[in-house]
Amino acid sequence: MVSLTINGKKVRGSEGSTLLELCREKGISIPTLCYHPDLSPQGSCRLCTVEVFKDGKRRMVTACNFPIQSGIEVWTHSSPVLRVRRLLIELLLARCPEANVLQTLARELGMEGNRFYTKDPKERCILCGLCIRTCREIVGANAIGFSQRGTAKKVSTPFEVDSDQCIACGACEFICPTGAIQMEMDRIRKIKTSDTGMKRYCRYMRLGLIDFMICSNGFECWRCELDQRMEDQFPPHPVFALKPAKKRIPLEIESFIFHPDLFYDDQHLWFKPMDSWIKVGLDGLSSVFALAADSIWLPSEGEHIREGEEIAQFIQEDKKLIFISPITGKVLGINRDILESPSLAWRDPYHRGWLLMIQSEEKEKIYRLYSGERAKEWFTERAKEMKPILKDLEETGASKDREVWRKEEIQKKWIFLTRILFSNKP
Amino acid sequence: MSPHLKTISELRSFRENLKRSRDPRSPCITVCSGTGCQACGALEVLEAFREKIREMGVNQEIEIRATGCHGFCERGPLVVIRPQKICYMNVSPEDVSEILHQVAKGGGVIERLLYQDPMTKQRILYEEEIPFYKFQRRIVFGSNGEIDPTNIDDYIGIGGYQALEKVLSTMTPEEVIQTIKASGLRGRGGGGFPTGIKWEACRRAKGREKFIICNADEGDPGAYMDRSLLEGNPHSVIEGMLIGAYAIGSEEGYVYVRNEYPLAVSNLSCAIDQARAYGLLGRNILSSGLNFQIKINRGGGAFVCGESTALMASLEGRVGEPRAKYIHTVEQGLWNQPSNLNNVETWANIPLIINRGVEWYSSIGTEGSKGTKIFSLVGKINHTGLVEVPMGMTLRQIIFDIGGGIPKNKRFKAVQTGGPSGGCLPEALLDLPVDFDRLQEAGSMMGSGGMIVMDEDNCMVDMARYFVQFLEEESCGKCTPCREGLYQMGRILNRICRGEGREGDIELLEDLSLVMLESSLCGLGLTAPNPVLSTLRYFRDEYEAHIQERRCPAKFCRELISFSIHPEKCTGCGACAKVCPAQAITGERKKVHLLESQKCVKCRACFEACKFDAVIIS
Repeated sequence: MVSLTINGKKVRGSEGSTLLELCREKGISIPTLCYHPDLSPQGSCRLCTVEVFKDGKRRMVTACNFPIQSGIEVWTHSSPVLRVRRLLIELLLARCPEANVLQTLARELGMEGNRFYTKDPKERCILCGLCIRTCREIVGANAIGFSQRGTAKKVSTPFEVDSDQCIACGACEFICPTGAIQMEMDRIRKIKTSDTGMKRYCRYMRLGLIDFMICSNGFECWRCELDQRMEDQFPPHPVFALKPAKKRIPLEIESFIFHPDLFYDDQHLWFKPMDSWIKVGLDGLSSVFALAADSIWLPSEGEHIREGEEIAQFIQEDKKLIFISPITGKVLGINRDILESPSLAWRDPYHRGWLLMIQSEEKEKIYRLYSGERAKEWFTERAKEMKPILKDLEETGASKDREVWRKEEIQKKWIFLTRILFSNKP
Repeated sequence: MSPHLKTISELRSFRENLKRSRDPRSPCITVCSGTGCQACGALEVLEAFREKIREMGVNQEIEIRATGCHGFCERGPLVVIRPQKICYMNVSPEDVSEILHQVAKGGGVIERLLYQDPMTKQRILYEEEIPFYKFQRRIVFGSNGEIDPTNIDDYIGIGGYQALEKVLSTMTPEEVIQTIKASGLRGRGGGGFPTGIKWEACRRAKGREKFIICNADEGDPGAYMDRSLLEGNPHSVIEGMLIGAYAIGSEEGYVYVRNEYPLAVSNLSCAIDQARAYGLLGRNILSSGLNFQIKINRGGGAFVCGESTALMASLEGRVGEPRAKYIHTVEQGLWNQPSNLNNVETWANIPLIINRGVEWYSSIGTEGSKGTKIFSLVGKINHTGLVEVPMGMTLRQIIFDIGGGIPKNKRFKAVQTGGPSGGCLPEALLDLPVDFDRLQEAGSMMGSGGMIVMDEDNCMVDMARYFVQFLEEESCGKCTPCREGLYQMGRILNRICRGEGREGDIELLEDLSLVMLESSLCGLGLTAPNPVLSTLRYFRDEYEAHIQERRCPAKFCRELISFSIHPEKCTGCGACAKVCPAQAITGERKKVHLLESQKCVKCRACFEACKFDAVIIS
């Protein structure tokens, strides 16, 4: 617990929470435009600016992303804070004079008139970015983003083309505080959304909320029974109730990183099916070996490999760890960075530490591997077995540099570790 | 022939051999091939030299070396004859054979190519005696003129990688950090944060991996010292980063450099390749167990990417937008791992501190700012170029002693330090010692070290408008105060410059500035009002003249001035009529000319052309 003073009152909050969360918990209202409890704080509207004193030093910070610290003194409605808020609202109202949220906030702060110039009186977008973060962090579609910069900045689809990345879930329209986004069904209907181009996958299918569903209503969701059912069952908007993208971010299990959105095999390789190829890498457990390896061998680009053939070797002195391919295909590309620095696989196993990309027709073989909840269970079980060894390393390694120590230990326990990790290996 | 150096002693003996094989007394002609001199034709001069020595058959006796920037860019191309260090300026390919003949003869000087003192008309022979160089202290920048940046042997030959040697063989990472802390080195990128403390925090931070980043995204208009260092002495930056990697415990380093710096990119990649071939980068460097590699990342032309968090976002492949730094980048930076970012100049200072010791280093500079700082001296100044001076030198010394004062005997008006988000300092502050804290107190900042000198013809309102518009274009647009604030600020300043300023505009500018200073997200927005606030502080009367009297005191703002010809001063030479693009000036030869103000586009061409001060601006 962290104790601090807010507006002259002593309060306590749990470590890691933000100032805004604590204030809301204590019933102190701070206006926000770009904040949403389900989304990562962006800190861009600056309306939640508060005054913080620490060791006699004064600072203005945004409450939405400021982690609480013990001993600080916070003022949420002091006159400098109100001066900042008033001017920010005046600036935003000059941009979007018609936005109701802004007019209400201006009334609450007792403001009248505007000293600034309005370029486009019809402008509605305040660039809070809620729609973009919703699309990325809740929906997982990444269909919209900011384009341009500075005063020309705006929200748009890539290259301002109607793209099939948009699954027409309507979450952006739902979250927009000023009504700047409107669904245009005519345009959505024209976007190709299935492999054949004729059929249209249901938006709930594309969100991963139902298994398979072809839309028979031409995307006129208001005529659809399923849509109605979803909305009734998951108010106020199914996307926000279910948050599909939140289930796809890497998490830490027993201090090892696990990615819930990938496929795994018994060798602790991960597979990620892309358009016509598959990306392969070491998972958060087997990548421990990368830390101790002297070098890595990978097949060359363009090479054809068959199921059961080697796709990677980790070499440490006289020891060798061999990984075999579960699929047949052509090596499209290899990660050159990892050849130069094998420890990259440990440092960042699912992103920069990938091994190779294979072009293959055998995607369905990948789909049969561990995935979803089953993968998580399997991973957790193994992580628990591995944990005591590494925990031991952390504790005894206090005197020496932790990573160097760990590396040496892994080298010593190489054989022992392989036995734990690869007990199911053919 | 690139030896793969496997141990520290191999590097040491390699250096000794190099030194032995090179005779410091043998003649060497260095041609500055920095970007400034290249623009003046240095490459043609270099080519002429190479051709001529072949022709004369002296290519064994005389070495021609293309070096990095010498700093005196005003007088490029610069050629220095070593070992005497005779400095020739504005050299053209036609001068080459004459120079070569003199050198081959072993003596003699070409008077007309020497620097001439504007007051005494005396010619000055040696580089270090020219006032521009005499008052400088070129510890970081000095080697630029001696070495060929594309040849690692040159760098090793003058003692390069000696600091790395020392660190790997005799110091622990903690000792390195203590040394840097004790030296008092502060970040040269503008913030002035103590480098040692940053390193220590990064070393202590927990993470799977740690990153070392060199910020070479130099975007301030008129500033080019990082560019010249990377172009002229890339190995000093690499060596600094290697020492940092050892101290912090990092395996991977990045140099984020502007794509607009092609020569810096090519010299740096060449240097990295050579260092790797020599075994100074890669795995298990000199058998010390240190693994380190450096990658170059070219920026896409966004000024805001010089801000540390925006730079890291850009490195990750995302849009270059800053984020809040309540959790510091030394704890969670690039890919959310501990990351240590320093500016090019800071990295180049590291080997010096290690080699020459804390006491020596901290004897240079002032109480709170140690060492030297490179400034780029531009604008209305006689000696445009890069100068390296000890911290604490006064603005007057820099501008008048080194910079040679203001051209055409005009009056000094102000100097803008610290780039677009720095401030303008007036004549009254000329005796201000230049260091981090004193500049801050005066309402400006050190920034990356740009110094733009302005004379009496510069309008301060227009100056503020220029910088605000620059920042408006470069703002990323993420946070409200910076995006909307700069837009409105630009409009108000525009209006004032056009003579449409209103009562209350000054107060509105102040209101806006204060809120931006307090509530912007990143350094760009937080310092963006500085040009406005500092000009309001020191030149408020100019704002008032624009608004109340619709008059520009510097006679600069186009909408507020008109041109006419003084009938008594006009000699009828016709020079003004010739240059006028709008045919607004008429008159017969040897008779008084007339200027039609309806046709006049106020381009100032006639004003510049008239030798008799007959064109009058009112």
